[in-house]
Amino acid sequence: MGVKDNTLSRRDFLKFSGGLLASSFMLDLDSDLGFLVPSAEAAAKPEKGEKKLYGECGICSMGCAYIAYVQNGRIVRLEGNPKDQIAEGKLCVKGYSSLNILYDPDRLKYPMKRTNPQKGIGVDPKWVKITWDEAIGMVAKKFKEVIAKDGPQAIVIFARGKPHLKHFAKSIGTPNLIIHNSACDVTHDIAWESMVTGEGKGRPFTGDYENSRYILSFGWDGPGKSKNKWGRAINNALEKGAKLVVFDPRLSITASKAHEWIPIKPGTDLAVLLAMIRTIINENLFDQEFISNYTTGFNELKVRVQQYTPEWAEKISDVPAGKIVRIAREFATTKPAVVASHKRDAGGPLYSNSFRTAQCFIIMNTLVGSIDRPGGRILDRKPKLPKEDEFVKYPEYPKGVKERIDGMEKYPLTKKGNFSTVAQGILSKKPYPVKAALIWKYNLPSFPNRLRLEEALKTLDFIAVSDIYPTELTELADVVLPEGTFFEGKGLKERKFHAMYPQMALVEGIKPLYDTKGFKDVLYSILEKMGLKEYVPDKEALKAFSKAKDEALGTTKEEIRSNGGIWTGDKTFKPKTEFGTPSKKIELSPSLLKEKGFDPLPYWIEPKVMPNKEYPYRLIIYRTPWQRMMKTQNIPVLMEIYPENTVTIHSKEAEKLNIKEGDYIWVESTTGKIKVKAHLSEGIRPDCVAIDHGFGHRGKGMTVAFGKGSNEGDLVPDMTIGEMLKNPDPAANSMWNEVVLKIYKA
Amino acid sequence: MQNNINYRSRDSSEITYLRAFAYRTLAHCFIYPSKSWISELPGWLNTLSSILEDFGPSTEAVVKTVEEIRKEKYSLQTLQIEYTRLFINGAPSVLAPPYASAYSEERWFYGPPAIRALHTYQKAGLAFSPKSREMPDYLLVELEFMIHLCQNEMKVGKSYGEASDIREEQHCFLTEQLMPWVSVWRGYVETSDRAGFYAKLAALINEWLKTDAVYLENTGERSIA
Repeated sequence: MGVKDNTLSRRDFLKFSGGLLASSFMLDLDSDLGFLVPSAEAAAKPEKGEKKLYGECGICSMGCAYIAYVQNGRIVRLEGNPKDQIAEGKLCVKGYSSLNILYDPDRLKYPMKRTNPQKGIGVDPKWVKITWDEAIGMVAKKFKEVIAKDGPQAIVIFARGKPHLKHFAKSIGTPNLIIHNSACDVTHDIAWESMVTGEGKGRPFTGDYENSRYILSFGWDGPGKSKNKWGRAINNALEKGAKLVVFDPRLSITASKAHEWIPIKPGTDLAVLLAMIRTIINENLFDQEFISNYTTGFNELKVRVQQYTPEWAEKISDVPAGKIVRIAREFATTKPAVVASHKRDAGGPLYSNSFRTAQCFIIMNTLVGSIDRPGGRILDRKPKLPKEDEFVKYPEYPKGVKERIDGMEKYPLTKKGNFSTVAQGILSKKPYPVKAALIWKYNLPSFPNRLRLEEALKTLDFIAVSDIYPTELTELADVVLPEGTFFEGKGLKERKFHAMYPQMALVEGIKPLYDTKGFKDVLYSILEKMGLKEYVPDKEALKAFSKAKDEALGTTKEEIRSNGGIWTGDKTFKPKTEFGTPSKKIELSPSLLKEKGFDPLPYWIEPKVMPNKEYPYRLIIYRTPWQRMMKTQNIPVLMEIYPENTVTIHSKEAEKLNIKEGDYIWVESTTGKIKVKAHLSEGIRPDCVAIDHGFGHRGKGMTVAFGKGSNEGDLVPDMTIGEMLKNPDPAANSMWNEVVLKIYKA
Repeated sequence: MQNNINYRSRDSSEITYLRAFAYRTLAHCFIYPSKSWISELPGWLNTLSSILEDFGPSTEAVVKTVEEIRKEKYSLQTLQIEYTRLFINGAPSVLAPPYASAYSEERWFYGPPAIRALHTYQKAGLAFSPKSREMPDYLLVELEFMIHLCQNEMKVGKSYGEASDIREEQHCFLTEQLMPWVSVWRGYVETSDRAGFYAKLAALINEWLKTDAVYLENTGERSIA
């Protein structure tokens, strides 16, 4: 009798209540309550004032270090950490408002499973809350079944290429880790790897723009994306008298600050760059000492570019030959000068010639001696720390099939995945059927032609999704694995996005809310449950790794805590004299490209599609300073500032089409059409329209983001592997955004 | 509301225990449904009914609701789906989050009501358990606090002044913290619950809070008089 067996009747109660009234055990709070515990400290000292917690912003990859002020267990405000070379004491509008994510009622809170077998966007999955054990068990069981019946390749993992994700894919034996690079930075990665950093080393993120005297941009719009450091760097450089010249079909925020904005024809930046390179070489304006000491392949390059005269480039790009020559001369004779670049650039989209364009950015910087020199592009300085794989050893990975569902194994230099081909790969069931997917923090609007991917995913037997928010992709999931926000994580993070010298930011994190887990832990739990314990890191080895890392840091935990990181490294800039290529020099005609059967030198490639009578406009895709895709779309204050995306049309074109400011219009490609609010501007070429990315969410679970604006990815075609292979590109550039359009009143 | 709780015929400590037990039972009814939970539910409701009956005519409406819930047969999965949909994450979205802040001016969690609740707990010498990942204004935390205050009252027994102070504390938390948002929350649950169980449970919690507030008010007045 009592609470536990819940049969306490009135008579029972009256019978024993007299003797036990003062006792609390009958109320048995611990079984399912027990949230509150006695605390002499709490009574004596109710929490007053603010407590500091250090962290790293997770909104964009810049990762500004912040200080969070905690009051009553709640983070109440954020400020940039002044010691961090990226934040320099400030965050951007997205960073400051990111606090909303932590306390967003829409967050995924507990693991859940679907009980409705019907799947589709807008179909109620009829979630039920489950335990982590059950969730992990379901994923492990399904993966084991799929492996036994269809092989490990029948499991596809959509996720960023973190080391633990690569390890997970290899451990279960699937070649299908699909990373988003085809839609992002692949062209720059392969260009830098082949010419400067070495195979597999990626591109640097650092640019010493602040100290540049002449900054050239081909579509690069760091300040326009409110990239914290870059925005300030450009402003500071301008204040110090630097000249900024921007080639972009759209008057971007960077272009609006520039001394010259040149509205180049989209997809023709390469032509201008080739002509500029020719000018600088032929007029002997290049940095002779840098070229002779630190480069190879100069003569080959010189021969190659002779065909690309400024007059030739003018015909292609609409940029007058005289202007090309003048800017090339200014660039080469003002020291230091830099071509600022990051990932897609070239007006926003990727084009069939984007890899060669990225290659030319590096050549331009090399010609003026601005690779790893003050005022130029800088190779990131990272702390020298032991690596996990030096301590944690795994048995050999299972040897599975090499063919990937997105066909990327056919490209020798990039195997990171192709968002453009994966849907058709799954639907064609070639080279094999796919049965299950594990998806980490990607959403359908991240993909070109999301409707096709949705159709493909619906053919799978099983989908597990890990995310912070109930995205539209979550609506297709069988199991939801909720992840915590960056405010709830812990660690010591190296400065990556702007690393002039090595620094590390402490990430403390508040006590996590609800029942969320980091995805790394989830992956190891799945492996363990699948019976693949040998691929789960040994705890002792991890301890040894952690100890070695602590020793290498050369400081104490207390010091790190009191400083919020390690900011005391050597800040003297020592320019590199050797690079990561086989020759240890900057290879203007890279041996890696030759070895893999590609033309090592840049050459002119026409864009894949050209505007025509039916589709007279090119699509330009950009990002606003106020949003970063899904991550910020559910933040009310940002949506108040900028509640929906627009299509920017040149005023004269709009007049011809009787489109007025604020009209909703149809924007249509051969792939699809979307309805978007028109914004009229003189700040765009008449043959282009520009749409900002990140809107158009169909997942009703994100109540602020839902239904706001449109997703321009619905206009972007996907492709078959066969179509992709027609492009002999070292970066397997999938021309993600190359689209022509028509527009008309809705 | 008329206060007809039969406190005159009952020792005040007994009544406090009954009240604590009512809070405990309501809290238990609100936890996420499991196999054992659903099998124990009729027993819990039976106990609740017995306790409430003991309070006299003022609880008739509440008892009636308990009886209505008892008569219905609910499938575990239906209740789990509804619980998840209403209180955790649903499609289209979470419909009736059981947090006071969700019904404050800003719908964001951990707002001023959560801070107020936390301060109250701290003043009472309580802190959050290290294992808890919940926020201070979560329904179950606030119900647990009421149980804690009832326990405190039981501990001081008949020490007149102390018991009266604790009752005042209860009344204050109930009327200033719990009741304002629970009455709004109940509306959201009632309009959104497809199974009927949670609409009734929310109504039951809301009714009980009102009944208990009147009881505390009247016993407070009596003690002053």
